[in-house]
Parts: sequence; structure tokens; C-alpha cells
Amino acid sequence: MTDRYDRQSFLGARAQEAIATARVGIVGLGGGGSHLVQQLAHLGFSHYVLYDPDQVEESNLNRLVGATQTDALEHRPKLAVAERVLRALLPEVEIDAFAVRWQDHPLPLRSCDVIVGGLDSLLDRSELEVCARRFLVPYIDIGLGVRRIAPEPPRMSGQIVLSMPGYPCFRCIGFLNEEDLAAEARLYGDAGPRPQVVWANGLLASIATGLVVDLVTDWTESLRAPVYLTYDANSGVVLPHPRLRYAVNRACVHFPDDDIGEPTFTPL
Amino acid sequence: MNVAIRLRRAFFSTLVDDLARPHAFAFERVGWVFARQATTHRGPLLLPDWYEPVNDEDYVRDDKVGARFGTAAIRAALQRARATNRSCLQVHLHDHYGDTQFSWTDCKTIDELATSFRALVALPHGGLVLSRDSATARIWLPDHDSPSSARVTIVGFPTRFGAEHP
Repeated sequence: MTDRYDRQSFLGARAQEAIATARVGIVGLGGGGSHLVQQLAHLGFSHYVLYDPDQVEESNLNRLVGATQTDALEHRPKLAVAERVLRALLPEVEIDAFAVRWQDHPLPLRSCDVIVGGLDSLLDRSELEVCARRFLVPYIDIGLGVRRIAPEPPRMSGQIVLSMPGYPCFRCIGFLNEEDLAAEARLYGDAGPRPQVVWANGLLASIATGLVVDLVTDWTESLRAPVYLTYDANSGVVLPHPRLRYAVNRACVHFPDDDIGEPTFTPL
Repeated sequence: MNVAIRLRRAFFSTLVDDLARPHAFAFERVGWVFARQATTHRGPLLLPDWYEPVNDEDYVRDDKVGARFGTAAIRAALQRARATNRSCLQVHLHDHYGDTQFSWTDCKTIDELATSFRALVALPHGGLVLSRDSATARIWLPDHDSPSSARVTIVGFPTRFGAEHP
């Protein structure tokens, strides 16, 4: 047991202590979130706040790491699968698990040192960023999508985006904008089958895991600015998004520094 | 009860830069950090967002301690805490890198200040001690008869966790 983390000791003399101290929030325990849970547990992250209201279905088994045929047959909550994966590696792990949308019970998210979201909608991402910014929590988003424009083969792509309080936000770097949010709202309830595959989910989650580790250990001594990476799954290439370079040295205009803490309302 | 204190790295750097300035006769500088309050499911969360250094003229000569200041500085801090409904933390710098901790004198001073501040502004108050790259806090919650366990997180690139205290 004492040498469990020897192979990652290059992360730094205090790295394992930081990893064991950090409280990680994971919102969404589907294709991306299930990989995150597994990898963070292997690394020794020992405090979690987990959200997912869904149960395991047969259609999840193509990508939900840790889930079994029996879980699908019994419609076991995804939270239970995540807890099982975590406790199998870390019996003493501290898990605050909530089978609800995070918006219905947001207080636990505020206790996190970093949040990773594997959410489906832009609106959910926007709302989660507002919460993370208000309570000074770094937020990493991962997402994957497939587009089909006949007669070309399907194009699968994804993103990993880090929103750090005090730095350019999702809107500043062009990841979120009002037009896309409005377009999504018009399609409400018509989301389609949301194509997802295990290898692409795994790659995005692995990069996000690496960001979490770097954030709390500073092992690379080079993570000093927001991250916006795009993944072209057809070619297997991950690159920084070109928009990032235009925003990285600008102050965020969407989340002023004094706009933190509990929201307050001033009567007119 | 666990208290979390979370501050931006840029704000932390502002504190360190100001507190590291030499004073004409005091061995160290002191200031006040004012924090908004929030709640998590595990306890209070303090979000410092304002800093006021103790004015040069408010320091009092005393070779027995690193810094001593007069009642005008305390009155000004109390007034701001009350006017803005914010927690007030006395802050100073231990000029080294790595985890830091409160001295016996730090604890005594902070305990006296925090308990008197609580009597007038019923919020968490206390003290913050910084190193060049970390911080720790001593926090008194309203109606508690001892300091609560607190941990400071410096949020940014990188995110740094201070030692839990006490």
C-alpha cells in the first residue's frame, strides 16, 4: 500500500498530499464522467461531490466505464456505479453523492476545489460556469459531438475548456455565445440520440484529468492560462483553439471580480 | 465545523506585495482582509474581496512584537466590516515559502480582535497569515467558544491548499 503512488512521485514532493486534499466535483457521470471517476481514483483523489440523476440503461453500456449488464438490467443509478468504482480503489474515500440535477442542490458544489462537467447542453454549461465563478471554483468542461453532412463521413469532435475565476470565461473565448444558446433553446426536447463513443470520451476525460492534476500539483510548472482544446476525433488530433489566443490576455467582462459570493438583490 | 476560505491568486499576490513593503520602524506590516460569506453543505465559505493596509501612521513602536498598531486602525476595520457586512481578517506575512503557521502571539492577538469584532458584527472573523506562496487562517464563528477548523485555498494557476488550522 505504501508504494501505491511511487510511479507518480515525479509529480512532486507535495503532490500526493494535494491530490488527497482536493475535493473534486463531477457533474454528469456518463461517458466522460465515468472515466474521470476511475482515473481520479487511481491517482488518489479522495474527496468527491458527484451529481447525476440518471440510471444505467442498456444504451449506456457502450461507454459507461464500470457499468455492467446487471446494472443496466436493474436500472442501477449511475451514482452507485461511480461509488462502487471509487470504493473498490479507495475504501476510505469521502463521497457526497446527489441523484439530482446540480441546480436543484447547488450548495455542495461550492465546497469543491475544482469542478469537471460532462454536460449535454450549452445552457447547463453556462449555468455551471456562473456557479463556479461566483464561488471561485475552477471549472473544466468536456464535451463530444458528431455531425453528419452528407455525403461526407460523420465528423466527431470535442473540446476541453478550463474556466478559471479571474481569467477569460467561456464567453470571452467564444466557447459559449448567445446565438448558440438561443439555437439550442429552439431545439429544446429534440436533442436526438447524442452519439457518444468510449474512446473519444476516454481521451477527453484523460486530458481533463491531467488538467486537474496539473492545477493542484503544478508538476509541469507551465499551466498558467485558461485552456481551450479542440479534439478532431476523425484525425485523432488535439489542438489549442485559435480563439483562445485573442482572449487570453484580456480581463473577463462577463464575471467582474467583485461579483462573487451569494447573489444579492437590491430593491429599486 | 470546517470553514473554507478561497481567494484568487491575483488577490493573494496583492496582499503579499503590500505586506512585504518595509515599514519605517515596524518589523512587519499588517492589514485587513474583508470577506463575503457564503455557505456550503460542509460549513461557511469566506470569499475575501477587499484589502485595507494599516496606515503607516497607525503603527506604534514596540520592539517586543513584529508590529503593533493603535485603536484607530481597529476602529476603521470594524467600521468597514459593519458597513459592508463582511467578515474581517487581520492579515500579515511570514516571509518564507511553503506552509506557515500562527505564532502564540498571533493567536492571542487574533483571538482578542475576533471575539470583540463578533460582539459588534455577528459574522465569522479572525486572522490570516501568509507565506510567499501559501496561507492559513484562524477563524472564530459567531457563538463558538473556540476557533473553527479552517483551510485556505489560493485559486488560480496553480491552485494551492494551505495547511488546515487549528
